[in-house]
Amino acid sequence: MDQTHIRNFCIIAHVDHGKSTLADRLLETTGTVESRQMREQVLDRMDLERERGITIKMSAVRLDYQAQDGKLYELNLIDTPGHVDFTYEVSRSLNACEGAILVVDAAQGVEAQTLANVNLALNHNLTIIPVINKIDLPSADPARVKKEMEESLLIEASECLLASAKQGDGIQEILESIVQHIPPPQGQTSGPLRALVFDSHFDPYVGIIAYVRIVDGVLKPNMRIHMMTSGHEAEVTGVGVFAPDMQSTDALETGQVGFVHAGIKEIGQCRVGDTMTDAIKPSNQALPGYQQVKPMVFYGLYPIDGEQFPDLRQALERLQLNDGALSFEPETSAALGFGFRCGFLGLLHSEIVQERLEREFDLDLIATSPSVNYRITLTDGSVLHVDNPSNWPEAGEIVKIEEPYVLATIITPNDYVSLCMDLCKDRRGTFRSMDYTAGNRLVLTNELPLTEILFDFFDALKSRTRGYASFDYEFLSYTEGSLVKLDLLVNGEPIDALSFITHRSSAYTRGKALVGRLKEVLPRQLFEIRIQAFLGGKAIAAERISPKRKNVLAKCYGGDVTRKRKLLERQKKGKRRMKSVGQVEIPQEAFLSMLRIE
Amino acid sequence: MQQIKHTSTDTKPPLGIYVHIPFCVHKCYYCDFVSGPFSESVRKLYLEALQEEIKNTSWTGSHARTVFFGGGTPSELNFLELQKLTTTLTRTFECNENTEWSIECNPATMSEDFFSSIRTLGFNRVSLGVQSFNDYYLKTIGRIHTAQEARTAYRMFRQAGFNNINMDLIFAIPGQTIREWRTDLKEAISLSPEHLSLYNLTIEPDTEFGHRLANGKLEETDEDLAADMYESAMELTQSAGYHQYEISNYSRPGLECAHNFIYWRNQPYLGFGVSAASFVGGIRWTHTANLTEYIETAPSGQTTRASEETLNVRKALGEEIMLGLRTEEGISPTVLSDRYSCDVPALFSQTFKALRANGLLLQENERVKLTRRGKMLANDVCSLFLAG
Repeated sequence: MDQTHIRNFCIIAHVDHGKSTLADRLLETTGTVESRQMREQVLDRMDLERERGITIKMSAVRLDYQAQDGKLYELNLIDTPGHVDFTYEVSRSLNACEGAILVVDAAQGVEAQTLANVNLALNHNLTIIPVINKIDLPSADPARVKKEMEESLLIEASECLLASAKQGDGIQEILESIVQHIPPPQGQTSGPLRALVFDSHFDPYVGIIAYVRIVDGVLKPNMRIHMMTSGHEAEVTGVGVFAPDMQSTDALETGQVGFVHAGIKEIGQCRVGDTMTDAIKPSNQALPGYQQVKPMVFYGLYPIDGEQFPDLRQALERLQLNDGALSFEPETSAALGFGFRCGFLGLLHSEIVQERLEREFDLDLIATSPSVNYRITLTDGSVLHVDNPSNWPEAGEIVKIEEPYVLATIITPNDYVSLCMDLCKDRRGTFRSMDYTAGNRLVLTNELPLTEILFDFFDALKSRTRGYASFDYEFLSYTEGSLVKLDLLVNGEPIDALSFITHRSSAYTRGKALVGRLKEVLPRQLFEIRIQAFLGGKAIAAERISPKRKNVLAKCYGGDVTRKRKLLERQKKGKRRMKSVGQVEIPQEAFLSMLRIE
Repeated sequence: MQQIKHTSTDTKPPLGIYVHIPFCVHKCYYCDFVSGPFSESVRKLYLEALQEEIKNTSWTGSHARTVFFGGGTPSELNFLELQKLTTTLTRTFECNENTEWSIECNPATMSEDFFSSIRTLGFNRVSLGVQSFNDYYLKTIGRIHTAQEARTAYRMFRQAGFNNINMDLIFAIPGQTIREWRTDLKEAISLSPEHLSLYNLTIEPDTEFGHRLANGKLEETDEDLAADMYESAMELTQSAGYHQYEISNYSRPGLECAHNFIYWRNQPYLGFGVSAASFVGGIRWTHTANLTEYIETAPSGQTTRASEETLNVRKALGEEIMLGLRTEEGISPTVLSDRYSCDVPALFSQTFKALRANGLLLQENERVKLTRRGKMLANDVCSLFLAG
């Protein structure tokens, strides 16, 4: 296919503004998928995505479109994740595109992630096709939304297309606009080959399947390829396109998007962001790599059943294959046994990874308190990065502690603005700016310590604004803070899995709350339990649990014996699953409820 | 550990006989037995099936050490119905003047001539379901009788000449205070029954209370309050001259319930009726809890069994210790070692030591038993001896 008849584009939108539904309609209208085969949201392949209504992993799909000019076009839709945590993935797919469809909900208007995504797309020099979706909703107000887009996104109201992806309205116009406005790729057809790896997945039969955008040249089976960053060389065993299922083709040509496999088994040999070139006739200039993604949130993941440790390792390796932002390394906890310290982009990312581990790999997991990466300057002048409370240095060795700050953008209706400002203030935020948009809404920015948004910030925001506010954040800088490590002890022994870092001002309140909570969830035992919260060498909160007094079955007669024996056998088994800290037995449920509520 | 030496290698060992009568006017909120109101026709079919089941037992001619009518409400049966059953039982099993004949009675269900008439049928022990002497709590737990009816029933049994009467009482009823419980128990003691069964209310899942608990409409009694009530029970009975021969059972010396002792000593028993359990020759089985199924299969003597298990040696040993420790006589490690062909003191030496150190077990002569604290924490103690 001639490059001039290729269009590579993505769809960007705030969560729930209808991106996946629009993608479905594009597939249907172009006949890529017949309507009777159409499952809702074909592109969201994972159950998890379907359930949460969000796109986590992007897919790529080729649409063949007969335009009104009578010519046949190849449209490559590269799906992007919509959530704040996945900005890096959005960035990856933007590199493979020349244009983006911006979807904005006709009732909700411009939201925090709309802003973030548009900025990202403009930074990548993409042509934006603005679409106001869901115009069929009774609450739709396209005129207001157009105004908002003009004011906050600098998009001409006249350029906005109106659509209802759900009802199939406006789809033809969008397809035409793609053909007319998005520029075709402009690569060197004569080579040398340069292909950008923008995603991958692992197939047990053929190894790594890399998703590529051919920038220059042609990629064919039996070619010897060279990975410009990893240095790995391999022979191409197959190429093809997603239509939407994988279909082998003879070649991928300049400007095209598709997949390639070359019997590569090691993730490190074919990383996302690497440039693939011809080993015989190589290019000497790699494509600009993606920004290095850095995990921002860390916690320990432990199998509830210690025997699942190797399974957990394998599962994490699998996930890491197409989730470069996930990091992990083994760690041990006196309370929880063997596990992994994992790094994530944000809380949602971590939740999704955890759910996938539990669902797709059938693991039962327990997670420790989340932490950010702290930068600590020690008395000997060295600088330490600590993302695990266990590695926190002694107070005497510390000169300075710095913590990551983010710039948080909140878009909220006028009525809730003071509640949002209060929330940010409560979370040690510093007010930055406030701008009005059309339709009685405000864009509020605050500088906030990242650690403060790890604990139910989004939930608090939603409940204070009855769900009307949207929220996004980006990393800003490291700033000095007065931070301390808080330990929880039972009968004098620290429970390492429950230690955490907190700001000094909230140490006392949180210590007291956690001690109280632990008192509630720890079962009484045969002896008295002392629970304490320690800050440095000093107890700041304490509780006692008096010894258990009564645990006896009132009746055990002929008809009960078997049942009662089994009941006590279960009790014994349950005890074996408990983790012991000193003499104190702590049931898994206690850890779970301690770690769930913060 | 290879095999269990059963107390008797006899294929027809002396037995405890249990007969289940599922009929009830109204189901109590804590009751998880198979019981409830039934139509006249079902009732008739059931009694016929039960009769046939007894007649067709494989243990015809065995010595019956005890016969126990439980329920449900056996006292709901009329004289003729009871007579048919007792006659069949005495014809089927070898009974003598030492056989203990017990029947559970509900104070509200008995006709005036019931009290004396059942004596003529051979019953020599009655168990009266008093539960409380406080009408408010009787209502709370779904009983159909009043405290006054219980007092009257007790007096009538005495007048009929019964000299072995048990009273069932329940404590830790939602809302009940320690004072109210002590008042209940004191009244029971003042009537001077030979035997007292004092049960902490247990909320089982598949009961009215269980559902209320699950729906948050009922709060279980605080553990410490229940512990205080249990301690009160032990104290008050002791000073009145009762001895606590099992976790929840107290009697005048020599008047323990022989039937229940068969369970705790892990001796053979045979159950008749829907959902009844049996344990003979190391095999434990339970009849179907489905009444229709029971009525269809019982007459042939091949009653459907809902479950059956032959315990392996380790499980059987654990179970015998679990049961034995419930009693005042406790367990004898020497006897158990011999029965189970293993070294019980060595097998559990660490456990014994730790439990003694924690004041939960004590050794008296050859026997190991629970301390008072051990009784209150019997589950923690017993589970340590179980397999798994």
